[in-house]
Amino acid sequence: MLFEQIQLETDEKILLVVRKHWFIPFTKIFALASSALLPLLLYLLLPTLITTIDTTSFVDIYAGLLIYFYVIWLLLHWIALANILTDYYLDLWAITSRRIIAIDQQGFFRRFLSSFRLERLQDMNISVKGIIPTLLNFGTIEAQTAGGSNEEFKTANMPDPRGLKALIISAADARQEQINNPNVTQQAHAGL
Amino acid sequence: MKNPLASIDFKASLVTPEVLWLGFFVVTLVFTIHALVVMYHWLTYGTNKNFSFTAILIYIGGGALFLLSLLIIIFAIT
Repeated sequence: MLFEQIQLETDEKILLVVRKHWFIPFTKIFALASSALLPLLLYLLLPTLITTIDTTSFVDIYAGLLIYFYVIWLLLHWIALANILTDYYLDLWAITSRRIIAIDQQGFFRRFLSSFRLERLQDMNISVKGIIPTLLNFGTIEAQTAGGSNEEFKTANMPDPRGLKALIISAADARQEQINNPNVTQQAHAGL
Repeated sequence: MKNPLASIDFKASLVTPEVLWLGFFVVTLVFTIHALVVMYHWLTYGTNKNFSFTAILIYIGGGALFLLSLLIIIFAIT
């Protein structure tokens, strides 16, 4: 599994694993479900839309074939659903007591894994734009790290960005204090 | 009552039983390869083993139901 591959350091604890807000896969699944039901809708509406052709007898004659193709259509949607859920499940931020690990899964064969140590955290910004993100409390979270490359970690549609920012800053402060004073345990300072 | 499933004149249609079987084998192949790829990803990069196993079982079970339905339909109309 993931954390066996990442190989956490000794005393490194996972504080939080966070995925994108549920609204993101929900919209995709809703669109997929609509597409899956489209042929049924056409079947119901066709007789009223096309009155010049007797569509009922066509459907009666080719019922078996139509069901055959509809089942294939549903199976393709089932596969697409697995793609959406895989993308959602494997795309995550893992916040540990030492670092932040950001995993960006794009399809099956494009996977980006980046991490930075909490003591390198320089700045954190969050932005919540739009009516739905404001109502459902999700937005973009951005972390800038100190160092030669001045790297920037940015992920959109993260749930509760304020809470996430507070947790990361608190963990970063605790880590900094632990480095400055190794005798004090990190958890005691972070209150986590 | 006339069975609408058995009413296709295959000689007059482009969709022959061979085409139906070919379609079945193609989607079975696509689903099998996809299921293997999904299984690899969920078991390698997932964060919870039990959750990953359950999700894979549901996915393969659901896909198998669709494929079984296809088989039944093919037998019914040929």
